[in-house]
Amino acid sequence: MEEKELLKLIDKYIDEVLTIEETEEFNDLLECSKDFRDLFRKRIKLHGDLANHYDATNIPGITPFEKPKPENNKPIIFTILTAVAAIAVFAFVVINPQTSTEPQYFASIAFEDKARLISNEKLYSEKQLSKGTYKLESGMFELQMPNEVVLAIEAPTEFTIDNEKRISLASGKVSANVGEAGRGFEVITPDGKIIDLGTRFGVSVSDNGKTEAHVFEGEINVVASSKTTKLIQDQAILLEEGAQLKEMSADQSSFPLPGFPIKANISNLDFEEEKALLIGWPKKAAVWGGDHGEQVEEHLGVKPMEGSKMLQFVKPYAKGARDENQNVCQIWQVIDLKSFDDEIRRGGVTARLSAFFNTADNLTVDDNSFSISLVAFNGDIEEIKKYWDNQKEPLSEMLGSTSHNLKADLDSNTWEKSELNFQIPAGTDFLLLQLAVNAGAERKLEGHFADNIILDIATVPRRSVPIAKWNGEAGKWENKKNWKFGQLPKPQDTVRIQGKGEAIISEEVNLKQPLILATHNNSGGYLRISKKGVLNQSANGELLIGYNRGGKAKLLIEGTLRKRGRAFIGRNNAESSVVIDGGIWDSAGALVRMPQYNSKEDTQSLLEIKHGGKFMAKALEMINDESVVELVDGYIELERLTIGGDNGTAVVNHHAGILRVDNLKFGSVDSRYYITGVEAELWLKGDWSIDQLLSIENSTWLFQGEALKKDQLQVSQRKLGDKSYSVFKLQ
Amino acid sequence: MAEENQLSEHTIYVQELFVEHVGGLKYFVLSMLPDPDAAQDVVQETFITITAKAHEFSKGSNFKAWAYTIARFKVLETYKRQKREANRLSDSVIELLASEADEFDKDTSQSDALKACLNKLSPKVSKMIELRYQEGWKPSKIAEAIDWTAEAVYVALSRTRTSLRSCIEKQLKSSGA
Repeated sequence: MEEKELLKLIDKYIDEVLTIEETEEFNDLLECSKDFRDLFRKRIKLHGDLANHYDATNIPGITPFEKPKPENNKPIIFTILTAVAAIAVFAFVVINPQTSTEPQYFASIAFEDKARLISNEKLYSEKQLSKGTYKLESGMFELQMPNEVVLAIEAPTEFTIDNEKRISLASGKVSANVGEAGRGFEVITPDGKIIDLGTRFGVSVSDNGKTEAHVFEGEINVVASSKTTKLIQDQAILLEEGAQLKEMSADQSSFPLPGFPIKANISNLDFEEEKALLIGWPKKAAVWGGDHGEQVEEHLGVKPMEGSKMLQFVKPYAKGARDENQNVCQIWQVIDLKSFDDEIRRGGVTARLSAFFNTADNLTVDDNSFSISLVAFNGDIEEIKKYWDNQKEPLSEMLGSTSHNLKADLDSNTWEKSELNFQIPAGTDFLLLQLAVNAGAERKLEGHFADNIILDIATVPRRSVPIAKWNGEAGKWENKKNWKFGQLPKPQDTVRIQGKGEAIISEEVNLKQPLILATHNNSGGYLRISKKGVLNQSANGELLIGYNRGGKAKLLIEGTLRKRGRAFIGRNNAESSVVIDGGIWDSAGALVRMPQYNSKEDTQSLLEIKHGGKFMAKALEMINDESVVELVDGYIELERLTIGGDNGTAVVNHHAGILRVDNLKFGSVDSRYYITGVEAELWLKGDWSIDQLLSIENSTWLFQGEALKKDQLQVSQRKLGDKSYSVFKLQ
Repeated sequence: MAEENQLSEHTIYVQELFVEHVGGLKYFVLSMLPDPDAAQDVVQETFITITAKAHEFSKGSNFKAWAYTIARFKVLETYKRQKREANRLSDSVIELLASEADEFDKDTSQSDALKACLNKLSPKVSKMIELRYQEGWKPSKIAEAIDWTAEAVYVALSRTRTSLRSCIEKQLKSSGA
């Protein structure tokens, strides 16, 4: 196009007569050509100068604007109105050339995932960012700023780094992890200001300029229209025009997240506590156990590396060391990661373990070998005991492991460091931390020491998760009007059912990602799989029935639920129930857990089976408080049933139908099994007597509110395929 | 210490920064809203907003980016309010223009040169420019008034602007030399 034509197009824009098609062409030209933009800007300036010329000559009596100056410490009165009147002629103000300053870096890119960052129209490839405006066109990255401020930013986002304590967000999504030193960090948006009070939080600015702030942990202050609102964990706020505040529940999955530390319960890593190490299998998490080790003060010429005590490896486990030919001493600690399953499921958790080792002066033969290991397990803590009993047997529950060997020098004055990194596999419930020494042929273990163990577990930065949300009204799943933004969930979406209305599946639905009922604090979440309905969920897709505090979730199955991933009924104090009313829950090979983590009130997790319904899973774990199974009439088929965990009540009410299980366990606190009807049959794999059944460890058997007596039961043997079962029922 | 109708020193400092940058900002807004009155409204709203939010601005941080971001949102609000679809800049173009904000600061006022050049226009063209800028008429209305076709007015306006531009450049060159 000739310049004349281009100018005509610009002038048509200036005279506001472009058609929609011409507008498109005009924007395309502007976007593609700097020359055209320069031409445009020149024309706009002329247009502005013309308007100003006639405007100024038309309104006599206004003098050019003067800067207000403070006079002799007197505060000057300068109202907005006079300022606005004064700037009517602002075009006469001479622009000061900007002074350039040395670049000062306020942030560095610590992690990036396909990030494409633009600054001043150019691809920005430096790892350091100075003050300025940036646009993340695609991907996500993590920025580290001074004072323990870490940001995760996901495209498309435009932001400005103002200084080391502040960024401005014009559009897009950012979340921040702010340590104590960074308290007061600010995110400025077009609608307000978010001030950190030592926390993790997310801020988003939508395309139409609306700001949301979500608190994941700790507290923030939100300042909008001179009003300050404090938000605490799990709260969120929407700043709308006129700075109305609309309160919501925080939603971590809709934000990119920086990596953050996982605060698992790990004990006595410095060996300073007044607590002896257990000898033998440690039985529970967060205690040291294993072979014979002891906490000692300065010993055999070796001083603790830090504090006043250290670990001395003493000898193999007394009762039949696992391998007589080895002169090995292993010290174990099991770390429970079950409550971090959200993060671990995403496959984004790493562990970094380091330990220091030393040997005494009296050791002259140089063939020691120290090692540190991490092993990931899925399922019950008892599975780890199998590993303890015989480490050579491959276990399906062992998901992965890593170790690092170190040969310490013979100088008792120096400590040698061993370290490793481990990507914790998705599905990990427990991590085993193992410190070991192989003293070699000399067979003298005494004089080998460890100290200053450090285990950091942290998530890796991640993007926000694509989500489909139910709009809360009752209706069919298949009707897109029932979903936010009028879009049916795609298989790769995480699906959230919330609100008062029931979602009804009446066709076949396939999901690959998690399905969550009652996602927010105090929200409802109701799903029915009707008789013709089928819900298939693949292995990555967990089913979370009840998710947050005060939530109420219900899943009614009249049709078929087929799933390969895990399911959780009730957690974080959500009141949750599953009713299988003539339908089928086929979860073969996968675990179903009823975990009321952090239960404070009497919130119940319920699994009810009636009208010939069927529930099949690899394992059902009723491991936390207030878990109830009601088998009214139907079938339960499991490889393992764990009734009760370490806290709270777990109850099975068996009215009628068959409960068939290979392995039955009871928790240590108030775990009860009621047999209430003559049509109830309990099938237990193997050859069991009534006495053996009634004396299973921690078990309580009841009938009509009283202890079940031996003579009230009968037992018979049945074969099913190649397995044989003992079948118990009332006389 | 401060009365309600008194502004703090910090607020005045922020207002001074605004004044320093308002020339470029006005062109920036005008590029998005070519109607001078609408653009002026947005600039004034921006001023009110930066005054109200002055406490959120800390010394030494990037004022220009802040003010331009606020102005941008005001313009987007205007687009939205007007449900404007044609004759508007796309979001990506606005972003580009914002990132090249310094370009708007380049030339200082050329009002003297402009005045001289306007005096050189023929009476008919001069009348048309007056109607367009003094009265704020749209080309279609001008066409009616001077009995031209609207298309002829667009062409004439475009031509006049081009000749004014080259006249101004000549004026600046000669006065500069």
